Amino acid sequence: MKTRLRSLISLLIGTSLLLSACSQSPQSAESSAPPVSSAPASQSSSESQSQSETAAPEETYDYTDYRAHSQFPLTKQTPLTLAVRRDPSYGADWEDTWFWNWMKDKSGLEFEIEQVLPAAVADRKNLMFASGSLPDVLIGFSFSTGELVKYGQTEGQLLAINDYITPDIMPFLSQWFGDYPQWESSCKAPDGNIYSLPCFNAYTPGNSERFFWNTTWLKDVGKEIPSTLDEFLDVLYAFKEKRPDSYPLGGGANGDDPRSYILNAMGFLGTYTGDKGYNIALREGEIVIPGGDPVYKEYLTIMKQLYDDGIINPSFFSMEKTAIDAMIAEDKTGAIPIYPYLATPEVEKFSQWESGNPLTSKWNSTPQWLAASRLIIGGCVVTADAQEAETIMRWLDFFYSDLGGLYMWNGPASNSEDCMGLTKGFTIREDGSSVYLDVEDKTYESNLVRNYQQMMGFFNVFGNRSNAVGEPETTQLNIMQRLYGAPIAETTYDMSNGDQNYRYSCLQHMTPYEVDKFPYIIYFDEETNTIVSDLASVIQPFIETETAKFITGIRDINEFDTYLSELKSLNFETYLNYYRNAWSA
Amino acid sequence: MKVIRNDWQLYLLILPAVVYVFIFHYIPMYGVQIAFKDFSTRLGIWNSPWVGFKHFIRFVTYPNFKKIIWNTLSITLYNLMTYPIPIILALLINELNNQRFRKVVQMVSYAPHFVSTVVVCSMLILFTDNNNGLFNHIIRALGGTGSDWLSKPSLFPSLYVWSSVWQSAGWSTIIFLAALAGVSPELYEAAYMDGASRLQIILHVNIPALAPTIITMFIMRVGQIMSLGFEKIYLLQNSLNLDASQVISTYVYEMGVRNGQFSYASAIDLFNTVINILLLLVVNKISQRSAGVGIW
Amino acid sequence: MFDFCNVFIMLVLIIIMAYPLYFIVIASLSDPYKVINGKVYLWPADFTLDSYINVFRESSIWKGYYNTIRYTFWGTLFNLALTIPAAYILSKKKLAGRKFLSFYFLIPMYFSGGLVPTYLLVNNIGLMNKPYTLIFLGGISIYNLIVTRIFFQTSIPEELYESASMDGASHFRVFFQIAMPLAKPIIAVMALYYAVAHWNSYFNALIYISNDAYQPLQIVLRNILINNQMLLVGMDTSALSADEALAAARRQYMAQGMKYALIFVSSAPLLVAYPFVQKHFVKGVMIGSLKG
Repeated sequence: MKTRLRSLISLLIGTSLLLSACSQSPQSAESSAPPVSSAPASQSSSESQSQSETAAPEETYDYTDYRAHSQFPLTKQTPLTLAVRRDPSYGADWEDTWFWNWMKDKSGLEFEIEQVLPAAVADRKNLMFASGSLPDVLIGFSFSTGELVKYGQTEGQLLAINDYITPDIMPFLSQWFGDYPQWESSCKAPDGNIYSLPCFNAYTPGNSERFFWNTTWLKDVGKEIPSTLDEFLDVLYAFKEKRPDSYPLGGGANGDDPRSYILNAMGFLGTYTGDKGYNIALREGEIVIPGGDPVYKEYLTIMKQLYDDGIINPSFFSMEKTAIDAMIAEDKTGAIPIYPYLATPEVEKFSQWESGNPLTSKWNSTPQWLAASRLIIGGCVVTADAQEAETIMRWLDFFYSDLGGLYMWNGPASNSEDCMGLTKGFTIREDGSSVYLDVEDKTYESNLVRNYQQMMGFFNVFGNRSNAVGEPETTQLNIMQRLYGAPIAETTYDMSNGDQNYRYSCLQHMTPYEVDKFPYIIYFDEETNTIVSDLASVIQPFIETETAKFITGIRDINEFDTYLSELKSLNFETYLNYYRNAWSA
Repeated sequence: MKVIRNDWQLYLLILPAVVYVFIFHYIPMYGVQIAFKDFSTRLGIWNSPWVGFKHFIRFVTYPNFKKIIWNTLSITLYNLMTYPIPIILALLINELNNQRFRKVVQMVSYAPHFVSTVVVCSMLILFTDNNNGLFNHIIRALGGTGSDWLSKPSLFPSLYVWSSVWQSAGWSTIIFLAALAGVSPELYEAAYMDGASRLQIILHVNIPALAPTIITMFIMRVGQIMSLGFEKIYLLQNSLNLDASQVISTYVYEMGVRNGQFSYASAIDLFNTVINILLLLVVNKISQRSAGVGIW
Repeated sequence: MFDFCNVFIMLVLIIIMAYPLYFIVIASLSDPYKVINGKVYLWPADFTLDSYINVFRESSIWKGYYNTIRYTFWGTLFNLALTIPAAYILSKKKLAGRKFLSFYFLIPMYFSGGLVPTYLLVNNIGLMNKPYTLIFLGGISIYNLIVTRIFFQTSIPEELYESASMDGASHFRVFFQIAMPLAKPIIAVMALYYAVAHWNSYFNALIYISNDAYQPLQIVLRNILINNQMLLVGMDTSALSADEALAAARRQYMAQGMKYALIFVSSAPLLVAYPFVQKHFVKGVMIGSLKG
């Protein structure tokens, strides 16, 4: 259509913005018709290009105009009422934030917001539903799938939003679901309705489970980062021989638990909490629970050996989290399942650590690693009695556009008139990184504080926190660069930054093996949920305790078969089948 | 006649309390019916359907039912047996002559009450640790072998109860000391003149003076036998002691808060209450018959 | 001889009871990892004031203190105004309807409607999120009521009342001028119990207060603790500079020891105020009361 003209105008606009900071934005010639997005092939190559590259390739909509990303202004007869989670320490009153002031100005809606502390969220949520005094929208209340089914499907107090996800009412969200149909089906409750708005996360290396090796220790024993289970054991024992007072495999049952790394090596692809052995995992594409699988015996044998030989701390099951971290700080361990800089903030110390590789073993020949889920649900719900639901949905669609996703948490570019004098916005430096001017001039002590005080108040709860719509390879930083009018630059990692250090390491070692086909989100209808939770409350502690007993030798491993039949008598098969049926449905 | 005419003043004195309790305790009482219904948040408490004893049956047939009841009772009964400790402590403190020393003792004994549960548990975990814990160091110094105390289900009730004693014994002496302060000095003078020893004075003057308080409070303690708080147990649980540390309150927490099953949680609470009351009635009756002291 | 034994026992007890308290003091001044590794016995290890600094850097803490002092003061007065007269009345054996009243108060101690109806009630009478909410919600503790009643029954003899009413004193006069002064010890105890309960209260504020300006100390402190412990969780860490990551990691690390410091921050005022209340527990308060 007019794409060439549009891109020319955008180029001009972009250049002029670069030349004058915080200038008035020129009249955008385009109307606010919902954009048709395309995924230009040039996007992915722009990542590796040098920084002298000029501004973005084909623009599909004007980045500087909020109307291209939303349907503002909207009209609603009654105020939009919200209950919103707020950060305990840094959260500001919503009326003092840039975000809600901007929103009041541009959206044409009136807002009434109640802010709730995280500690009160669980109780208030139940009370609000029980008392029937509900706002239109709840944000940040962490609805579990059980609660979505209960309040949505059974009680009918949540709005089924699927009928509203159309190109007319919610163009951006529809497009996301169009591009990722598997995410759309993950959002559906058993009755086929969607009761919660999704959150799309960026792919960030190092967000999934992790495992790190101390390279100094490896050098001392002349070994490499292991790739098989046998090598893994070999290295640990070499560590122990060189340093008899150490506990080479760090972590503990009450903090970050390293056992999942071993379970993973044996073919159980699982989530973070898969370590105690009672959560679901995938084995060759099928849902299993490690604690009830025959291969678990081999795992127990290995763990027991590690316990007996002092490879893991004898207080593994009773140590508090602080003690677990202390081991790292005291250099008493060489392999850990926690982000190194959290235990040892000093650069010299955390630089020693490098990410491990997923292992193979004689029970599993594919090195694989479970990626963190990019879809989160339960962060934002609309209540069934909300007035003028369609308008509300049109408002919510804004958060799935590029600008909306950015404005929620980062705010406007410093050269945008959206600053409204309430925030100084962000600038893109020469090297492509971003900086908030309010932090640079010390109005706020850190990015975190600044974002909580000026923005919507939470991160990764709903909306688009991922790439640009229809462009999988772009990052949030790229969107910021585009908004500011700076060249799209590739993400760099500063190795002296504890956070970026480990992420880079994970990018090298784990990312190539990451797999994301997994039952991240499981729904049960209410009756099944009751049965399952009762079974879980018996089976889970049983597996947890017996595992600990086998590992510490209180119970003899030869009794494993007895253990399996005890598990069976607790209705283990039924319990497992509920999960299997839920995923295939 | 004279008596009744004046009595309105007495009723007036108690009126504020009556009104307050009516508003904040009796009006919400209709919520008790949640235990007999399938509470639907949309329908509200009044309109939710009756299901009779369904939730109670579910509780009693729960596979771990016996275990959690047994675990709960072993801790609360054990705790009940430490009831005399604050009394003895109060009697001894009362005998201290040096006021300065007495004040110091009182302050030190009350202070643990102000330590939060979280810190008590952290300290307990730390002190009982095999490698780094103080208790094991002492044991090893005395020639024994150390072990991980919190990993042993059999030790769990003792650890819970004795750390609770540390936390609350001093605070519990307050009421007894206050009662002792009300003992007339003339009684002491009379006993002294009769040639009674210190110990005899305690036995024959102090303890009888405390008797009504002791008995009443004991009865009330019995009336809480099924009520074991959640937070401390939860903090002390670990993979190895679950056999002893799964109690009613941790189960209710899982079901009620984590799974939103209000009716079920409410039914369990009611179940506990009924047992508590039955025991209360029994003990109260015994006490009234034998000592003439009762709750009402 | 008796005294000697007594003092000896007390000394042993003091040492046992006081050691953990002393431990809390030195732990709050130590590096958290040294604490957890059992390196802290008699002295702080790697002395640091960071735990305290991290608590007080949050300005919300002063508002927390202010609110809690306010709630404690007025709340306790309210509690006493309800409890003391009621306990006095319940102690009068000859009063018509006494048994009924006893049951009336006893039943709610066991049967309660639960959180949902109470929440609805508080909501409906307009008591949500007001500056006086937490003062009124404390109300009356049946347990305290019963204990106070016992005191009235046992420590104040019937003859005292009879002689006073024969002198023509009205019930009010008897209560205010005779019973109350004699009840000083129990009033002091109840004031202490209620005050401490107000001071430590947390749950009611969590449910019924959402306005920052009315939050009590315990909420503020727990927020501070959680905040420091979870500084980096769920955060957009990609935007952190190296220094910021370092600072945040350091604070999260120190937060592991912060809970020890919080004990002092939250209870120091109470422990300081306590000695003033204590003098009411001294022997011999009843001198001269039984004349006539």
